[in-house]
Amino acid sequence: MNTMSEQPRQSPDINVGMIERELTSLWKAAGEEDEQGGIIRACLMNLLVYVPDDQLAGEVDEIITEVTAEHPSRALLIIADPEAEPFIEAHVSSRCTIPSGMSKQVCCEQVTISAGGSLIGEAPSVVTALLLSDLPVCLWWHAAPRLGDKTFERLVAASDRVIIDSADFTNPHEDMAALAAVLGDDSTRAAFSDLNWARLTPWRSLVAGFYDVAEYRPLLDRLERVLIEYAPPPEDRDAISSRSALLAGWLTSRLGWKLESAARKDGSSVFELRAGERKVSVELVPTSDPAIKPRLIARVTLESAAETAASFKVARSADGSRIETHVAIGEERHIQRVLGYDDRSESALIGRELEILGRDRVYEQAVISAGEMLNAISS
Amino acid sequence: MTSTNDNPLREGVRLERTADPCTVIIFGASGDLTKRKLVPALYRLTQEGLLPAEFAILGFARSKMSHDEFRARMKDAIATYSEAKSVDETVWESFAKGIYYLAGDINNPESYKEMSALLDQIDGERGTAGNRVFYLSTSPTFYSEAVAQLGAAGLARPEGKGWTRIIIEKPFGHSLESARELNVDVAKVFNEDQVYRIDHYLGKETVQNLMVFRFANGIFEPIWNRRYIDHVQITNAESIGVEDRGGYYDTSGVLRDMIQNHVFQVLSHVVMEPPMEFSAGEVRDEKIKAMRAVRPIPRDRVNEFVVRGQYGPGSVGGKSAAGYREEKDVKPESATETYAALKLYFDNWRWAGVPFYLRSAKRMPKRVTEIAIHFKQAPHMLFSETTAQQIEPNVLVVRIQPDEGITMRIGAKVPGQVTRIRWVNMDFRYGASFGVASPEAYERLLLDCILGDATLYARRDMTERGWEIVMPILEAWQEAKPDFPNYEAGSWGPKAADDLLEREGRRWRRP
Ligand SMILES: NC(=O)c1ccc[n+]([C@@H]2O[C@H](COP(=O)([O-])OP(=O)(O)OC[C@H]3O[C@@H](n4cnc5c(N)ncnc54)[C@H](OP(=O)(O)O)[C@@H]3O)[C@@H](O)[C@H]2O)c1
Repeated sequence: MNTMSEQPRQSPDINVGMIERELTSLWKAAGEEDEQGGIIRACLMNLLVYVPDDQLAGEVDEIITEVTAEHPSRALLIIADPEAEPFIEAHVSSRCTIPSGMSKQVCCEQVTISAGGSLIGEAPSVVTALLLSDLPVCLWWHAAPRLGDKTFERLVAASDRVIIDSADFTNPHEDMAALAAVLGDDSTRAAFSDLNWARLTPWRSLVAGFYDVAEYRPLLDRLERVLIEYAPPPEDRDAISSRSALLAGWLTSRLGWKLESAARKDGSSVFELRAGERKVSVELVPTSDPAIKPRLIARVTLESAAETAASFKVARSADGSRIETHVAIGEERHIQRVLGYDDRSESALIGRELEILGRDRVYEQAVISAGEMLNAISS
Repeated sequence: MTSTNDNPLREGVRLERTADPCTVIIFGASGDLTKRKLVPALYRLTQEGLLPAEFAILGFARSKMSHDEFRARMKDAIATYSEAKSVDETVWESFAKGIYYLAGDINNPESYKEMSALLDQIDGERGTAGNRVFYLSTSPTFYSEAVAQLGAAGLARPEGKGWTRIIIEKPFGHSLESARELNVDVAKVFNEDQVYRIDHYLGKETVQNLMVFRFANGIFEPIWNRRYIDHVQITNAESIGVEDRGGYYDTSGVLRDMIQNHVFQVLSHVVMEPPMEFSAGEVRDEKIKAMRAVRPIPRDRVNEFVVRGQYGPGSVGGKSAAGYREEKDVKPESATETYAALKLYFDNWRWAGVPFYLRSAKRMPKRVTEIAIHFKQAPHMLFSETTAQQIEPNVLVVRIQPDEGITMRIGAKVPGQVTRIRWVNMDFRYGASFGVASPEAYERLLLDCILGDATLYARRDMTERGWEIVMPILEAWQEAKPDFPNYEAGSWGPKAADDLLEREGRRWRRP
């Protein structure tokens, strides 16, 4: 990995035509440098990235490098500094990698726009002018989404897909509700992806997998208790991790349960729900296992009442490298399975989201249910 | 397939296909393929969570072994042959609990009784629900016997719940007659929809890409025919020799080992009409329809259409290489071909008059599989005579391995006062645009079979059609003694193969 050239451009009168010309000369120079003329310029999409303060810029830069190695893109990075004097500047750069199994370098380009104070609001108009035509636009909004924020709204309007991370929510109760509002807004055209939701995919897939087995399928309609154990955030032991709320919201919305009551008890949250004639309880319980890292889910248990009691469990190993499933049907059948679980890096998660097109209705409904449940607890 | 559709939790979980509980029974479990490919692939699938917990493997062969000894062997195999070259202890432990072994003989009915009892026991212990995949990974001489015995033991179409499928390894027959006999034997016991004939080329991502490339890009379909295409070349070259498979190879040759099955499968993807939908039935219907249109090569004119070759000593990749006849387990006077090139025509509307040149060989300068579509020349009169001489036809190359990708050669004007044309490649590489690794062919194929999707397996009619096309060639060759060796290891094949194209004013592409 190397950055071939960096040509900082400081100018109050930022000029899109100039940036384009600089990109062109960058490629020409790169082609001449390489003796075989062997670079491939690849581009599958436009990747917009918004970073709310420059503390995060370095970390985000690395992630962009990893993401574009798999998904060659024109990257347009906006680094905002609300505290600074008004300024806006841009520079262009490129990154090249040699993918495994290839002899040639594959190169992508990046335009970084730094803006401060009142000029942050100008950044969206610069990046939208720099979007490559005909290719999809993906926005990674590295902050809590806010309706009414002009920068957010303009960038979302220019995008086909928006990636957020609800694990970053500082106030899950309010932020989840705000997100539900954005998703419910008719003018929202872009599809939303949530890295926090993506991290739940293995859990959802394993839970769903239990009931793919024809013999166990009827037990789904006889669920009576769901227990989700999670590690609370250290700064606020009382806060519910947004991930466990999303998982509860997912089960509730998928299975069509109606919320009847919610209560807090010794740090746990207990929801009583109605599934037709049946009552179901969903409990979110802080784990007592100190080895589980904050905000993560430790274990999910689903219990059904039938002639023989059945319980399905998915649990994370303490070191986080494995995930275990356990099926118990009465006394006689216990099937256990251990799977490798590589906690995916942020860039791998983003990469996965970039492969998906279209809106994720299941996610949107889970957010709405989770918002409802969190609201019921706080009121 | 199970009731996954009515599982409300499945919706939107980005795993479209989930596998039923089942047991995979491997015939030939002490053999080479089991340890090199099959068990490592099943382990990977488990590790990735693509197989359910209710899954088991039952190994079957004559060697005496306990369950634990077989498990230990398989653990070594995964450590040695899997891509990761390592085993995760805890994942392994839960995987190993589902591995069983039964010592027995394919010819002995008693062994199948034991197998049947053990399978019932496994269903109880592992919740595998009576679903079974039998995998025949033994010498092909046992295929018919194994199938008949399974039938006699009531294991092929058991009463009650559960499905049963059978995977048959290559080679599928040694001639048209033997392939037909095998198909008849199989059909006595299994329904065609239970039968999965392995052609690992079909498991390769790029062969599948070829279909997407043709049918998802509207711009190619209109020119994919005799009006625009001059001819097509398919090259399937290996740089290796026969290695330690000399004994088997010497009874086979490249026509049987590669062309009759793999190369024809690739060819059918180029030639076929668009299927109505991407289903096993439709795709395979279109492929066989295309291959039925191959004009038969008359036995007495084989030399006009086909060239055979065998390598002599030479040098490949900077290393000296022995000639074929000097290889281990090969007869010193062997007449087995290690090179074959053939010209085929299709008698149908789309391809009438377009020659397809196919070649496959061992000990070529490099390993490459590619399809090159040579388009017709543009009309000349537009440019002055000197310019016109520089005009070459467009070529579209679909490379299957290595460095999978698509290249289009186009003419462009060299900037300046005079019109000079230079040929440049527009290049697309899968590796450059998608940084993700493709799954191993055996992983994809095993999972497909467990899911009940036979699209990437060879159907009965296709296996027989392949043999029908090559039989006259094999028979003509049988009659005349070849003048072997006729190409040097590390060269692009015998002179006669160049002549095959030059007679018609064409040339082999250098891949
Ligand atoms: N190896 C490869 O890479 C490869 C690639 C493509 C296709 N194939 C095909 O895959 C198949 C298997 O190949 P392979 O290389 O694994 O062969 P192999 O190493 O020779 O294995 C043959 C297996 O069959 C068993 N066997 C032989 N006679 C038996 C009997 N009477 N009853 C029960 N089991 C018996 C042997 O075990 P015991 O001696 O213990 O009975 C052994 O496990 C062949 O059809 C081959 O063409 C192999």
